[in-house]
Amino acid sequence: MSADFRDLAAHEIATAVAGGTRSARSIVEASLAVIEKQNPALNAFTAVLAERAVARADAIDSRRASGASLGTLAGVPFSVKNLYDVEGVTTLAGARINADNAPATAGSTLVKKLEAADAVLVGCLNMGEYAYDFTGENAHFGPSRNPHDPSHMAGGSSGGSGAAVASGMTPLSLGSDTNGSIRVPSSFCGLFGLKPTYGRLSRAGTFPFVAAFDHLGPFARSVKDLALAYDAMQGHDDGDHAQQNRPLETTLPSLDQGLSGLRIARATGYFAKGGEPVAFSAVDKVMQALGSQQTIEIPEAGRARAAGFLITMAEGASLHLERLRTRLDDFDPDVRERLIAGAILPASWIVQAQKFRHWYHTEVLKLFEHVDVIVAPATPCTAPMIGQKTMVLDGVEMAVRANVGLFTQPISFIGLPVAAVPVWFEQNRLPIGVQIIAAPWREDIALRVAHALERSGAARAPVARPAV
Amino acid sequence: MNNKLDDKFDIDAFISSSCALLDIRLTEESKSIVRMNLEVAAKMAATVGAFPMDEREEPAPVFKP
Repeated sequence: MSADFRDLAAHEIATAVAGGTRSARSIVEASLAVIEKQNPALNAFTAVLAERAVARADAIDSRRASGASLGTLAGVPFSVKNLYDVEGVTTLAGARINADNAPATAGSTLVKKLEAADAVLVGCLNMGEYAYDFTGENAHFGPSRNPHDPSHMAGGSSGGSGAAVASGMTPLSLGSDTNGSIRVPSSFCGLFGLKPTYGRLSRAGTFPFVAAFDHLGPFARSVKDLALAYDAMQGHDDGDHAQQNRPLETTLPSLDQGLSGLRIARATGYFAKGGEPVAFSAVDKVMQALGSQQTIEIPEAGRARAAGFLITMAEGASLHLERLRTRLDDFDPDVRERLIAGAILPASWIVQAQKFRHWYHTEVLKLFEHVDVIVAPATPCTAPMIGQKTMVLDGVEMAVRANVGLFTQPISFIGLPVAAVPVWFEQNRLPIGVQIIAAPWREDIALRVAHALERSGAARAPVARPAV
Repeated sequence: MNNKLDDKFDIDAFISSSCALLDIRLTEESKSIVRMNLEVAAKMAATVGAFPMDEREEPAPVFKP
C-alpha cells in the first residue's frame, strides 16, 4: 500500500480497513490533513466535518475490534456537492440565499447509503450557484480550482467534487448532473465519473435544479471505486418520485469481463464537430484502445441539445421564481438573468421541446439494437482559464458557461447512463474526457468499458501534484 | 419557425411586460442581459420548432395515476 494517502484508491482503503492493516481513523485523519493543506489553494470545500468524521471513523474501528464485519467502503473518506443534505449542515446549493436556511435535519438518501457501507463523510463541496453552471465558478464562494493547474476551471457545476478527488483530498465524491455537471468536471479534472440512468439513484434529500434531467452520481480516480460506490447507492426509496423501482443490478461482478461481445461505435455528425481537435483526438485514442472503427449517427442531437436548453431554462426558472421576486440582488450575476429569461419563455416552446424529447428518445433507443456502447467527446475543450467568459469553437465565439456542455446535453436529455473517462496527451498539461454511453439501465456496460480503458492505459486519472 | 424574434419585434417591451406580470423588477443593465439570453433561447426554440413533428407526438413526461 502506498505511503501517500492521496494515491490510495477507495477499494484499497476499504480492503486495508476491513483487514485491519489501517484504522479508519488514520485514513480519515490523513484525508483531513490533505484537505487542510490543499483546500486553501483549490477552494473545493465549503464545510469540513472533521469532528463528525473522526467520530464515525472511531465507531467503525470499534465495530471491527468487536468482531463485526465492515461494509464495502469501510473507512473510505468521501465528500459531497453542497446540494446534498447533511444533517446539521445548511444545504447551500452554491447560493448565498440558501445560507439563510436552517441546517438540514436529516441526510440525503445517498449519503446515508454510503455511510451504511461504512464510508466516512468528511465535508461538503463548492459548486456553481443552483447548479446552473459548467465552470465551477461562484460569485459568493469563489471558484473551485483545477488541481492540475489552479489557474484553470475545475468545471461545473460539481466543481468542488472534481477538485476534491483530483487533488487526492478524498478518493470519492458525489455530484449531480443535469446537463453535464458530473461529466464536465470529470473531463476538466481528469477523473472517472458516472452519470447513471435517469431514475436509477434516489435524489431524495438533495436540492433540485431541473426535475426532468437531474441525476446524481460519483467521481473517483478508479473505475472500481465508481462501481463500488454506485452499487452501494442503488435501491429504491419513496422520497424521489422519478426514481424507478429497479432491482439491485450490481456492476462490480462484471467489471473485469472485458470487451468481448460488445458492439462499440463512435458518434459521428454533431459529435464530430464544434470542438477543439484535442476533444476528437481523445475519442480517436479511446476507439483505438477499444479496437473498433464502427460509427453511428445519433439523429438530431443538435436539436436535442436545443430542446434540453429550453426545458432547463424554464424548469430552473420556475424553481427559483419566488427568489427572483424577493432576493434578486442576492443571486450570482452569472446565473440571475439566465433564470429571468427562463421565467418568461413562451410555454409552447417548452411543450414543443418535450414532444421532441419523446421523438428523440424513441429514435435513439433504436440505435441500441445495433450497438451496446456509443463513444463521444465529453467536452469541446480542456479546462478554460478561471474567469474566461468566451471561447472560440469552429470559428464561432460563444459563452463558456452556456456551451461547455454541448456534447453532454443531448445524452442526459434522455437520461442515458454515461461513464466519463479521462484521456491525457503528453503535449498537454490538462486532461480531457470521453463519454462512454450505454442503453438505459446498462451502467454495468459503461463501467465495464471504462474499466477496460483504464486497464489498457488509454484512460487514467493520476492524482494532481501541486507545483512546488 | 415558431417565433418571430426579428427587428420588428420589440423584445424590450416583451421583457418588461413579462417581468411585470411575474412581479420581477429589472434594472436596465439586467434587462440587456436578459435580452441576450432570450435571443439565445429564441434561436433554440426556432431550431426545435423547425422539426417536422407529427401533430400526434406526445410530450416525453407521462403521468401514471
